[in-house]
Amino acid sequence: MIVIPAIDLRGGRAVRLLRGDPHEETSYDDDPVAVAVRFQEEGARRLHVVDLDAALDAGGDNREVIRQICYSVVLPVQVGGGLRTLEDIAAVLELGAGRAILGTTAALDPAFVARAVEEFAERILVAVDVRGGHAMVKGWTEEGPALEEVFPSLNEAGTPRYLVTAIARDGTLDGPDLRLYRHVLTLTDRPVISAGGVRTADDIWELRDLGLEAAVTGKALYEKTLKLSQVIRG
Amino acid sequence: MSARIAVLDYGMGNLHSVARALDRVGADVVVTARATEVADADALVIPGVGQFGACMRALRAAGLEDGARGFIAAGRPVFGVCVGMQVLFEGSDEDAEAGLGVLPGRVRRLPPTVKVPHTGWNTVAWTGRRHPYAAGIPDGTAFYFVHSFAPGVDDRTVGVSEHGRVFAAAVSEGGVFATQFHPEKSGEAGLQLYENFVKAVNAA
Repeated sequence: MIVIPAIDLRGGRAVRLLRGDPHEETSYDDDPVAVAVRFQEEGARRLHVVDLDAALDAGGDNREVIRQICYSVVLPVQVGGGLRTLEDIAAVLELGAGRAILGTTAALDPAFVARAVEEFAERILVAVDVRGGHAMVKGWTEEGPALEEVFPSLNEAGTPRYLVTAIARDGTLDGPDLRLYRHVLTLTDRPVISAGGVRTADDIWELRDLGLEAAVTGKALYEKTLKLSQVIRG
Repeated sequence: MSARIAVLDYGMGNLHSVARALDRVGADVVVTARATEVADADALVIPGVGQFGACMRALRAAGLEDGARGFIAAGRPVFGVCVGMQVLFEGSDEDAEAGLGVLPGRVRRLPPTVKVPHTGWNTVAWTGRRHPYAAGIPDGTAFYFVHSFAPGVDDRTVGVSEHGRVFAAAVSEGGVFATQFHPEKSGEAGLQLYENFVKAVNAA
């Protein structure tokens, strides 16, 4: 089971938001590059980096920090936040990202996903952010279609891998939404990465036993309710 | 004209930094997941980070296992990095998955007496038969490591390092050269190693 530490960037700093609310921010470290290197030293096998400024479309971005992170670690880095066009995807891969994460708004356009997959293949990771059984768009403020509608068309578009975030759990340490993931795994045969709610190593084992490929974990690592050494052998 | 070097893109590594380092020392680099581009290249770089079995399965899923095998079997120049070195062996303590088996023996876990992963700079001693790629790099130069497993030392070992035990930091057999450390993160010494590799490929 792979635990993927998350680094959310805002104004060049590493922060965590509570349930995606830009007003509920906790800042953890002024130097995200140092955070990335520390995760690598603790045994991480992959990193998850989101550019919140680009995602929230608030003007400005953190591309230079992302470039430095990708340059400073040997790990593959998956990068998301505001990737809406093929050019955005190419730009972030050029910065050194291993995978580009398509946000839910982009992901709800299966024709776009199909084009992205045709061009970038396995380097595409499609994010589906969920609340109450529906995909949520526009910075998690607007309800989109139900999951039963979303997944068949994305599967059809050739999505190689999903990142499914349980919004109501994100940044809460309340434990992952196992019911959601059990359901999602009936809707696709592609690998699924979870995000949201992980607190302890037991949460990780439960996700593994359900069949998740990996779990993006943020707050639990920053608050030290989970240590990478507990979940990574060797 | 500069020789073309294919960096295997199978989703397991920070390929960009490898490609950039090779580019800096004058290589014509293509990062590719296409078997045809691999076959057409003059040399192959196999990067890799993460879990041994996951790397082998990803290599297979990407349809690149046969291409890599063919390349190696033909005696053409191959440079493995980190887990890209480990998969050249028969297997690893980390996973039941078989490796490519190009090099004999297994990759072993570093002892529990030391901190793993072994992360950071560590010195490498070149063994008796100094490999041409190590030319101009003094004995005892430090390189950058991130790993929890490593092969033992045998007569294919060309560089030795120690973390809890002595292990092979660089190995060579036929056209294959591979390092447990990351030359692309190892500053000038790492670039020198890549440059020697690129020069040898160009001269061939």
